[in-house]
Order: sequence, then structure tokens, then C-alpha cells
Amino acid sequence: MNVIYTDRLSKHFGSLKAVDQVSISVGQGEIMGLLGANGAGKTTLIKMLCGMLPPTKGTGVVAGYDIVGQATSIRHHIGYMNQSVSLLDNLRVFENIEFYGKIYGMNKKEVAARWEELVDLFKMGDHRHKLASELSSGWRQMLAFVIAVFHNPKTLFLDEPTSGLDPLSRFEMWEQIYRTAYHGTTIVMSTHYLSEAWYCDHLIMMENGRVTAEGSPEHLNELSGNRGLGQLFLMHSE
Amino acid sequence: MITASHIYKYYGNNCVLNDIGFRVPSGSIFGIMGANGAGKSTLFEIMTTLIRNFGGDLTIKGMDIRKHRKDIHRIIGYVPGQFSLYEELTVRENLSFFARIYGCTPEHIMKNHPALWESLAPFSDKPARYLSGGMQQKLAVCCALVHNPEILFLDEPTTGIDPRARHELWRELIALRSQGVTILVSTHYMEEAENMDNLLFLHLGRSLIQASPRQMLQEYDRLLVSVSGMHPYQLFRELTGRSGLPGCYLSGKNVHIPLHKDQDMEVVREICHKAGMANTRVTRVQPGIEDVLIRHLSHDTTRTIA
Repeated sequence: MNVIYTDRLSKHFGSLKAVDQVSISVGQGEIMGLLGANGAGKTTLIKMLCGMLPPTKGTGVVAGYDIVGQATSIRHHIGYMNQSVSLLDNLRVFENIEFYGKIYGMNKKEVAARWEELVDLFKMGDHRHKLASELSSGWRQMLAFVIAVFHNPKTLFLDEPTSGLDPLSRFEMWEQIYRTAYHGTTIVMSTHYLSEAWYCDHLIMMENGRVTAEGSPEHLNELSGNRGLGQLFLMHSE
Repeated sequence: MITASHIYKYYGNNCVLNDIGFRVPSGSIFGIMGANGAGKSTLFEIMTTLIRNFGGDLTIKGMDIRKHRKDIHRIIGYVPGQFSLYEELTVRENLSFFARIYGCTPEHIMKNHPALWESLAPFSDKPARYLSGGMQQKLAVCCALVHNPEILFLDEPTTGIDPRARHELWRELIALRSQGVTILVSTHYMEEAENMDNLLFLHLGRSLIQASPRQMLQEYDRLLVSVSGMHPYQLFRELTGRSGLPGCYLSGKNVHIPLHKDQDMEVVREICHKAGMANTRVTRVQPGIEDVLIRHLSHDTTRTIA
């Protein structure tokens, strides 16, 4: 079953084709990685899939909702975590959780129940009463991830979720990404770490708004003559 | 070329650098790695004389950094982590500005580093703000090189720029090394470690490990076993906390188990077999830099997610 599906999705800004006729499909529980140079169109594509930016042409369905006509419904059924982690620094960890819980339309009881479910999985118990500003950057990113999955979204969008973390924290973040996917959430992520591209089920390489290569990491590696994803990247971003 | 010993730096009671020492041979690339908040930028600011209040000794080319600031300024170039050129000025104007500070001309750079200049030349009349991230970094490197420094400091030059631009920037740095320039560079891309002659990994202000990448791999003291063949999370959950195993972690789609050297990897096969994980593959693998770092991080009793 495809949770994300687009047909010739395009976004033009004046004469610039930021996203140009992109057709993709992502199955339930799959982790899809978006690769491409800065300016290739990754963020524009993600914003359209999140219902945050209407496409110029083409169609798409995310979590069963049309990205043009039902953008508001999409926003209720997805989780989103971007690079500039938007935590409320003057609030405690649990207050941040309560705040976002309210935004997701959950009542106090639901928030408390979901927190109990997640607190041990994320080893967040010790940090509950800390101010968000007191957390190290690794824990901030982990808290942002907890918030992004707090309402149990069917689809999760992650923009460079591991950037700036040490290797162990990165592996712990991946443990959470895999756990979330294992329980059926579809994940779309962008990354500049080519080593992490290997961790995805499916990769899409973009250049100048178009998809230039697509498939499993193993398949893309074959396309590069087994010289690595980095080589493929160089071939495709001339 | 650079000798640092017992470097300490406190902000209030917060110790951000805790007894750091290292030596950087002339004409080599010295990499400083670590998570955000590990102390990398503070160390760069000390070495480039921007922070003067610190504990410990630091000499550059035999000169004490506290006594010879002016002399040191003449032989170092610095590319800070934040883009700090004049965005309104064109590429050429930025170069001229920095050249004049050092009493030289932008032609210097064009002559001394033709390959670096060649890729920037087509944009020479463009304001710096309209350059791509990768091009901005190249311009920053050019500006740091106008006075032909012997040592170049670069604080996370490849953060936020795409793999192609990173590849090109590294080509330039390797070319500079072959011209005899000593380079100190920080990054958190593990795949860049292979370009470095020596590596210092900082963790919460302390030196976690220091060696050449090759040495790090050679000195790995475990038998690394990789298990694959199931959903990564399922695999990880099955293997976590098993008695007889010294622990495990997810490395991409595989679970890595750093067995003790005297253990046999049959232990892992048996556990998988008993747990009914019929389709798993158990293989011995060579460690990568990440496996080495994880080994050192999990040694570290004070470790928390940084």
C-alpha cells in the first residue's frame, strides 16, 4: 500500500522550476531518503507533501489525503522535524510536550498517557523537569523527534535529523527512526550524510527539481559501478 | 608546527575544554571531530588567538600564543564556522578588502592558488550573498589565504554544503597540503576522516581519542560481528540485553556486536538460532571509524547523549 504517491508534481517560482514533474510512491513503513545538492528541490518537495505549499501542477496523495484539496487534513496526520529545532526554550521538557500535545488537539489525559508510553523508549525520564535550554544539542534533537511522533503520525518528515550529532547519538536516533518505521509509520527524510543514505529502504536523487536516480541504495550503488553513492552523487550533480 | 598541552577553558563553572593536548606536524591535515557542543569551536578560537583567557600552553611554530599574537597572525589564516565575509561586496571586492588588510593584492591569490581561483573567477563580479554555500566557503578559503599563511584553520567548512561541494573543497585542502600548508579542520562528517593525517575526537570537552585514522582502525580491540536479514529494529530488539553478548548497536540496517577477542562468533549464531531468527546472516566485518568511536564512547562512564 502506498502512503505517499505523486504524479508529475511540479512547483514553479516564476521561471524557476524548483520541482519539475516528480512522480514517486512510498509504501507503508518504508524509509525514503531524499538526496541532492542544496537547491535541488528537496525542501520544496517536502513542503508540498506536508501540505504547506500548493503545487503549480500535478497531483499527490499523502496518508490518504489529496495534497491540493485536503492540505489541512494532511497537516493533522503527519509529523515534521526540521533542522532548526523549534523547541520552547523557557519551558521544561514536559511543558514543551504539553504545548505541542495541545496543538495536536490532544487533551491532558491523552498527553500524559502518550508520554508514559514514550518516556522510557526515549530514555527521557531524567530530563522531564529540565528547561529545554538546558538540554545538550543531542537531547534537543531527541526531544524534537519525540514531539514529531507524539500524535502517532502515519507519515513522518525529517529534514537532516542527525546533523551535528556524535556517532553514538546518531545511532540512537536511527534506532528511533527504525522503531517508528517498524510500527508502520512511513518516513521521508533528507540527509547529507551519504553513509546514512545506505540506511534508507529507498532513495531518490534530485537535481534541478527533477528525479535523476531512484531505487534501493544497493541499486543506486550498482548504477555507480559499485563505486559508492558519493560517486553517483558526483555523476548526477554536474 | 603546533603544540598544545593541558588546555583548559571554563565558562563560569562550566568546563568546555578539559586537559586537551596534541601536536600537529607541519604540512599535515589535523582533524578535530565531535558533536555540537563538544568544544571544537572554542579550541579554534583559542588557537587563532581570539580567546586569550585559557589554561595551558600553546605554541605555534615555537612561538607562545600569548606573547607573539602579532607574529602568529601573519602566519595563520582562519575560516570561521559562521560565514563572515561581506555579503554585499562582490567576490573580487571581498578578496581586495582582505588582501589590503595584509598589505598584498588579490592577484597574489590568483597566482598562488590558480585552481582555487579558477572555480571562483566566473562569479568575480557577483555579490557574495548570491553565491551557493559551497562557493561561499571557497571564497572564505581564498580570503583566508591572501597573505600566504603557513597554517590554515577551518571550523566546520563543510557543514550544510552538499556532497559535491564538500568533495571539491576537500580537493582544494589536499592540494594546499601538498604545497606545504598545515591545515586544522573540524567536521562531523565521519566519511571525511579518511582525508586526515591525524584525528582528535572531542567529547564533552575532553579528548576521547587521538590517532591517525589508520591507527584507530588497527588498534580496535574487539571482534566485530554484523547481523543482518530482518527489519533492523526487530533485529536490534532481539539482540539487546542478551546474556553472553557484550552489547550491540544499530549500524544502518545491521546490528553490530563488538565481541571480546577471545569470543567465537558462533555465540551469536547460536543465540540467533535459539531465538528462532532463522533468516539472519552473521558475518565478521572490519570496523569503520564510527565503530571505533562507539567503542570509546561506551567506555566513557560519563557518557550521555551529547
